[in-house]
Amino acid sequence: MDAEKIICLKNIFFGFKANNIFIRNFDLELLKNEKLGLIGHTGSGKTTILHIIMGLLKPIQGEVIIFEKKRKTEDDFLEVRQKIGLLFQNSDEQLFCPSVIEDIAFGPLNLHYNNREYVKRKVNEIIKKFDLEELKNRYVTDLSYGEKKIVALAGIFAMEPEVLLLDEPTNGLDKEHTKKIIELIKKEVKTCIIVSHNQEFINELCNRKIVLNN
Amino acid sequence: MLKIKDIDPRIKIILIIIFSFSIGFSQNIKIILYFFIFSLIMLIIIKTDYKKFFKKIFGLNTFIILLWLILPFSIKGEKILKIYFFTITKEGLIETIKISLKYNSIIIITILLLQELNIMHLIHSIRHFYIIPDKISVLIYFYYRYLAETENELKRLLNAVKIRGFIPSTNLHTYKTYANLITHLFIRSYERSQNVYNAMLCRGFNGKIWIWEHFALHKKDLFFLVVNIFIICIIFII
Repeated sequence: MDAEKIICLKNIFFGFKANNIFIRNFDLELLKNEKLGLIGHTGSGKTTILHIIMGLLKPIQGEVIIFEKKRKTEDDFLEVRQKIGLLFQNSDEQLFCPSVIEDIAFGPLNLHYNNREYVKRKVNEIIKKFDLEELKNRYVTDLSYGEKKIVALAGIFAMEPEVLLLDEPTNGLDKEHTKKIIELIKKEVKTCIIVSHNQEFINELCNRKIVLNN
Repeated sequence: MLKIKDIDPRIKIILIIIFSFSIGFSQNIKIILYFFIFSLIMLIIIKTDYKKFFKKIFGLNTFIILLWLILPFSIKGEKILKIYFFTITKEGLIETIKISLKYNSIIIITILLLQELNIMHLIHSIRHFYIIPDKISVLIYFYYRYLAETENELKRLLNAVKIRGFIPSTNLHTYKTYANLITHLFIRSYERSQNVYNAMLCRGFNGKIWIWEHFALHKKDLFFLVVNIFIICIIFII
């Protein structure tokens, strides 16, 4: 029996201007329980692909099929954003609540605002899992680069996504933080797309990889 | 000493509004003086970092200095002192003293009550009174949050020009550099805001920011409110 296709991009064309199309005829399939690595040079469109999947950017041409449904409008992507978590390359763009605990709670509160008890339980569980007890009341602006990355990842995990899209999750991190993220992905993530320059990191975590050429 | 942090922010906002209106509409100098004494007593009772506090007070009083330079000479009345062509009148002096005392009483109370209150809690409490729509409160929050970000971005840009030997002077090159710097600042701020918005959408944002911790009204909060209202009433009675 064929494995369930979670994400399917067909014949995607994308460019910010009509005369500057840098993604041409791109196809991608992500199956359930698959870890897919996206490798490519700077500017090859790796982040753009992730943003197209989340509906943040609209392709000029092509089909975006997620959870076996064609997605085109903003409303179509609302469901996608509840089930797929995207870790941004720059954590500063993802963290915007004053304290760590509030930022982790931001996603769950949006999804389950009627069930505060559940949100509190979930947030505390994530804080324990990510070992953030000491950081939980700190201001997000006071965190180090590595800590911000971990908190951003914790914020995504708190939403319990079925699929994770990780954009350069270990970029600029020291060995200790990289190891922590690898352990978490190995342990907690079943289906994901990982964008990275780090070939070793991709080889260690992914079942399959796609190389994007300019 | 009273730990103002433990008091419910909604109570603090109510008190600031009551206090500001009470003193704002008072015309009797005796009442205004009592209110000022009351704010000084609060300053002693409420735990605060006095160094920071007086720094703020001095900064905010620059406006009052201007007032002292103009108002005592501008109101007609009984002459009490003449300096060259300018005459200080009794009415002008009293009016200036009144405004100075009112202004300082209000800012002392406001600073004392709002200290250690984070912006999220302040907006949250304002939302409880339905004074401003939700969207405006979200905008205020982002304005506050990204003002600091913009400042940091400007510092980064300034450092980037400094390390390449830029020395500002009165020439076209300097003006062009500053123009480029401001343009970059705007572009980066716009890009950052778009990315932050996208990150929010990815985390289920639908126009409303939910609050992590709700306020709980305790007996001590109500006691604090009642005592303060009682003192304000006493000031008016005596």
